[in-house]
Amino acid sequence: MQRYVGQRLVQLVPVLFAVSVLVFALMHIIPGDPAQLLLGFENTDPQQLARVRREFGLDQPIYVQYGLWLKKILSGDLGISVRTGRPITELVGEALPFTVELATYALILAVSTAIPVGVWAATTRSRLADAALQLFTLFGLSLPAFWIGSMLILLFSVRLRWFPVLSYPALWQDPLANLRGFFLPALTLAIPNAAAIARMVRGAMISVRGEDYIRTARGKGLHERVVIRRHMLKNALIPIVTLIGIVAGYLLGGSIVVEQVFAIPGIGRMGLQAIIQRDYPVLQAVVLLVTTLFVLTNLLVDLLYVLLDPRIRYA
Amino acid sequence: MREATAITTIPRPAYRRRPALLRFPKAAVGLAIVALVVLLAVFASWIAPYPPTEMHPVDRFVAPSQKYLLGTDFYGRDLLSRILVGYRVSLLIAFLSVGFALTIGGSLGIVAGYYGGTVDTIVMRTMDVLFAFPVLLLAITIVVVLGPGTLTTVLAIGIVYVPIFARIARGPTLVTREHLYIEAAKALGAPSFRILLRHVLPNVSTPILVQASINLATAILFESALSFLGLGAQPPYPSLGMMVSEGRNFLELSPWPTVFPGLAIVLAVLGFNLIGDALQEILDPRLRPTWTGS
Repeated sequence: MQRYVGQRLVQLVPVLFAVSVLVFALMHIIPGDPAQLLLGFENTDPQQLARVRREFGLDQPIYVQYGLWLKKILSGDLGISVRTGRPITELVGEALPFTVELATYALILAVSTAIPVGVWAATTRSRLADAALQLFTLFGLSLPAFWIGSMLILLFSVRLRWFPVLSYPALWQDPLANLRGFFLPALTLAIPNAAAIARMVRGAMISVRGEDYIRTARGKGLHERVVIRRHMLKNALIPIVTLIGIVAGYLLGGSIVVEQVFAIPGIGRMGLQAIIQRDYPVLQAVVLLVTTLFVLTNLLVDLLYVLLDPRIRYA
Repeated sequence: MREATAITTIPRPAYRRRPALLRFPKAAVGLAIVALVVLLAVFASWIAPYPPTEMHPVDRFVAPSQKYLLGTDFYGRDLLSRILVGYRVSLLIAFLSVGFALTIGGSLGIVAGYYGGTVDTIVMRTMDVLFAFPVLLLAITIVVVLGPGTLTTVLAIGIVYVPIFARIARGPTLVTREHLYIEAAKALGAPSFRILLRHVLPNVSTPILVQASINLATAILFESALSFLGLGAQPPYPSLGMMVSEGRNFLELSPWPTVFPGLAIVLAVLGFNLIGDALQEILDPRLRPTWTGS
């Protein structure tokens, strides 16, 4: 087990290295002078430009610049926002909790609805129920998040006034109001993912239901509920966990649109604002951070397999 | 001679398989929707009752009526005409980007799987790096680097999909290259290019085509999300995502400019999803509905 974890961590190094090179290159590929990008476009003072070039080592060879940049990143210094003049680490610290909460909330909503629905679809003998689920999931996968979010706001916030409009108090200050405020954005983010997970659960359950051990379990006289939960679902979990892992990663990156629709001041919205304001150091930090989180989430999923399936441990 | 006649006159069994489309109603409905959407997009200029950018200041935010079938927006522009032209932009971007990813990703996957060794390592590790980025974030970053526009959107979505097609193509290639007929073709002195094209490609094309139909659906969603964020096709082209984005500012005044472009996206995406789903079921019978027996 330890060797496997070690191997996976070692494999992570080249991927993260390549990601860091690409993100670093971002500032150099975007058309324009990197010093000007770092200083902001309004400021054209040649002395200040020269200072930025010296400070960021832009007058040095590119590999030295990368080394300096990486050293700063690894020490937790993500740079300075050219718009606000504030350290990006501070801005990230403010925005990240919103994104993490939104993604977690959406994941809980998606998984808690998708697994029972998927299991039910795989085990029901009702033609209508299975067809309805298939239609529901395909429909869920076809909904653009920005549109369904707008429709939810229109229906539940504007017309019915069941949920507050764009109000996000901190979780520790007012937990109930927080969960209420985040419900519609989390639901918007959860719908397509719940549909994808429900389909995967159905497919995975169907693929194990013909196995010998299921017949044996039934033959032993086990209650159908126990057969489904202990024998079918547990063995079907591996592909399901894969997808949930992919979804978790997607939620971090995919929350950009939902954060924009619901005006949530999270990481995604921060990245979009950075694009609009041409605050490229912030964009660079957002891309690096979200991608690293995404890669780490995927690693976590891989490690989770090992716990679920001992065969991988000894492979 | 008499014997032969006797054989040919044996009556055919009464049982006949129903046509494929009827056996897979999802495929039939999906194909019908996609055909409708493609026809609407192709003939948009002829069907659209008004030019998509023509403003009617007197008729702002008109609800669906006989004059304007789906109503009008803030500038009094006909929503139906704009949606039809929007379909054209969305479908064009979706087909081009998936075509790009299929060609580049598919070729890379086949080459990596066939040659193996260093080529495989280089190609697939590069794909891993692209996979490391969340898809929307990667697409947005590409748009920022290249500047927003229709061609950029095609490239952004295409590049994001390349690793998916590379992985899909590599798997069956690995299996195919071990077959005897490949060895035979090599022994006959057939050049690698010919082997790849004539013997490997046909074995890889089915999973690639299934993936393509699924990706066409997500490409439409992707394109509309990018244009919703202001990073897709640029005005004056009416793009469906941009229409939703514009309509959202006036939700309380009139929901139609937001509702209809969104529904139009859902319809097109649903069509491609139905086809993709049906293709998967046809190829993997285990996924077929539970009530068909098993």
